[in-house]
Amino acid sequence: MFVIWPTLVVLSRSFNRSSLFNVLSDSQLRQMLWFTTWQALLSTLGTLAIGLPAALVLSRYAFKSRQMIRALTFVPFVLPTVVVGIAFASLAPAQYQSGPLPLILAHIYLNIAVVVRVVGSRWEKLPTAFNDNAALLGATPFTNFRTITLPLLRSSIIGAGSIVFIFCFSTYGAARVLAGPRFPTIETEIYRYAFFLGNMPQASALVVWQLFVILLVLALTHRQKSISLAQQNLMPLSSERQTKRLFFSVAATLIAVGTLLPIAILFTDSLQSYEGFTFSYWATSDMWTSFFTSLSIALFAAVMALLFGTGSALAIAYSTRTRFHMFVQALTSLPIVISAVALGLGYLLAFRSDPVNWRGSIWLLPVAHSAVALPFVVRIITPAAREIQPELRENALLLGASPWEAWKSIDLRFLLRPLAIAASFAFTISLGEFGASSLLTRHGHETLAMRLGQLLSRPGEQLQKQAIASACLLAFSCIAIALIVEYAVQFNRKKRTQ
Amino acid sequence: MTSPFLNISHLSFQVPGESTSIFSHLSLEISEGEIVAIIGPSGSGKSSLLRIICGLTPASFGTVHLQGKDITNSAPHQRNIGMVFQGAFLFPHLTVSENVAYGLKMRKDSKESQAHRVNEMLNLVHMSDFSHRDVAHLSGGETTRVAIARALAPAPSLLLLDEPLTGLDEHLRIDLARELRVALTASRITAILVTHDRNEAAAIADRVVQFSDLIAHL
Repeated sequence: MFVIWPTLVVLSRSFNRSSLFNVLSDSQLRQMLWFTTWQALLSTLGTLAIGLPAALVLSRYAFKSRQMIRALTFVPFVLPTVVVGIAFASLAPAQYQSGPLPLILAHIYLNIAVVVRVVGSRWEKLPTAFNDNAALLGATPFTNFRTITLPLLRSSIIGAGSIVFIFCFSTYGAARVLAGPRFPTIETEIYRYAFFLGNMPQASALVVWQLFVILLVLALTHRQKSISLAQQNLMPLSSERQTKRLFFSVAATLIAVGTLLPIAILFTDSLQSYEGFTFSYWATSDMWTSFFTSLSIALFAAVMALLFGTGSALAIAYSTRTRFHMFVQALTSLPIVISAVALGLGYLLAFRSDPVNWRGSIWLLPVAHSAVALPFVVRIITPAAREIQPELRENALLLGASPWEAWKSIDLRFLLRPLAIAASFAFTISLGEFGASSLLTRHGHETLAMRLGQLLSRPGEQLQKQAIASACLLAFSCIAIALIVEYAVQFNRKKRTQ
Repeated sequence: MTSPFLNISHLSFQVPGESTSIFSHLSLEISEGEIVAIIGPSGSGKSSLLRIICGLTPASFGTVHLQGKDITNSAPHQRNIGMVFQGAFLFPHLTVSENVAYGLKMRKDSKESQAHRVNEMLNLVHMSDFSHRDVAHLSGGETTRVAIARALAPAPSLLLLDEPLTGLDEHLRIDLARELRVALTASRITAILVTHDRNEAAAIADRVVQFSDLIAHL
């Protein structure tokens, strides 16, 4: 109802042939499509170029701060894209504050976590003995990487690359702040056509083109043959040669500093005015009102995403019918394929006449946020649910537990951690959501991300600084939520092992 | 007097950051073509010794000379030492013959010479019918055979065997130990076998030494 129906409405609007082909015949639209594609491609290559060494550092050896730095790399991914946009705009010299370069750099920063997680998890499973064997058979370090590591990581590299490309192709928050009017992307154009020009057929046609490119990328990159590898115990870094230990220590420090630097600079910027140090940009009542609106919307969205996401994940994990779970998986993946702005546009078009005239309803925005978060919730919970051995539940049943008691005492206990992570993820996605919000926010009920966007579009040092303070507040909230969940999970694990 | 083929002198190994040594002042001399088995309990440092000899782990102190040349600080790919790990670790993305040919490719042998050597090695370990097989579909014994063929193919100066038969059933171990002895003798290779099984050591090696006897008690 809240994913397929709006998507179908958007698609049906575009079957206005002239709008659809106008994208190819109109030189400006064609140029925009080309720019969106090449910046996404360069962003993906850049993310892989930096993400792969980062994944190597964080997944090959065990060292003291590894887990903490690995968790840190995830921070940019949960940061609202518009916040990262502001951070990079304020970091860059004046002549590079907008245009392709800062946009690509921001995309790299935002998406490194995808490579570290996806490729790193695979790399952790790669036994060092494969590389040791190759070295003993005469392979130089480079040949070793090319002939052993790379082929065994290929599926995960392609998987991570395709996800990063899709995110960068559907860029909105960062593009609004960094690309500038000279370099529109497909997502900012969908918004402009729908919201400013009121040209719904053209906006819908752009959604179709966006879908076409994303589906093409998915079709080209899915079904990569992957050799299954078992989890390995990581070798301690301390057992390696001094030069290697030094290289890994320096690289790990650089990753940590590189992750935190943009936020730290943003924060110091928010505390400075012409007259020196000030808290005044943090003391505006509008900012805190929007912040509490964001929190309540995020809470509602997280609960909804968790309910539907967990239901879908369990249906996928428990089902023995391949077709059924493939269907549910495809259904819940739709919000990745259809971008947030397109989804917002779908809501505008689908829910504006009776009996589903919900325009202006206060709950439509959190529902849209929960739809955006749904694929992530499903992807976090499904593998964890799949790993639960059914024999455990069957044993509980044989020992006299009712089906509900058996599920509660076995499955739920194993799922608590992924549920907590998924809830925090959905919450932070909603907090920073900018695309669907741009189209669905009601006047007077602006979220913090929306307020931030509005402040940025207005001139004046005072307003820009307020935007930076709002961006910091969003960033700190996302980091705090991620850290609270991480520590709660660690604490729970320690308590159980004691 | 000629220098020994492999000369390990006063070797010590201590995990950096830890106060106790795994072993210290370990010395061993091996003649060319000799097959030596080192036996000792688990955790005594036998595998660490092999990793130091082939350069995968740095020694804390001491030297390793192979054919009169000091290789203590050489990179593993420059030592021309082969190793069969416990668990074999065949490259899972390559077929049986591609696994065996890997070291030959690194040596930049011609295609014909590679094919000839791969055939020879697979014959030696009775695996010639398996050359195009996916390594994921091999049994434990077959995997070990291919790992031995792969390690022998580039004709290393020295072969290290780290409990290669562990995890296999009793009958297979006895058969493979016999086959391994034949393969090593036929290749005229100098080898060190590390094991905790006295019978296995006796079946394969020319000389059996206790790991603890290699350490000088100063």
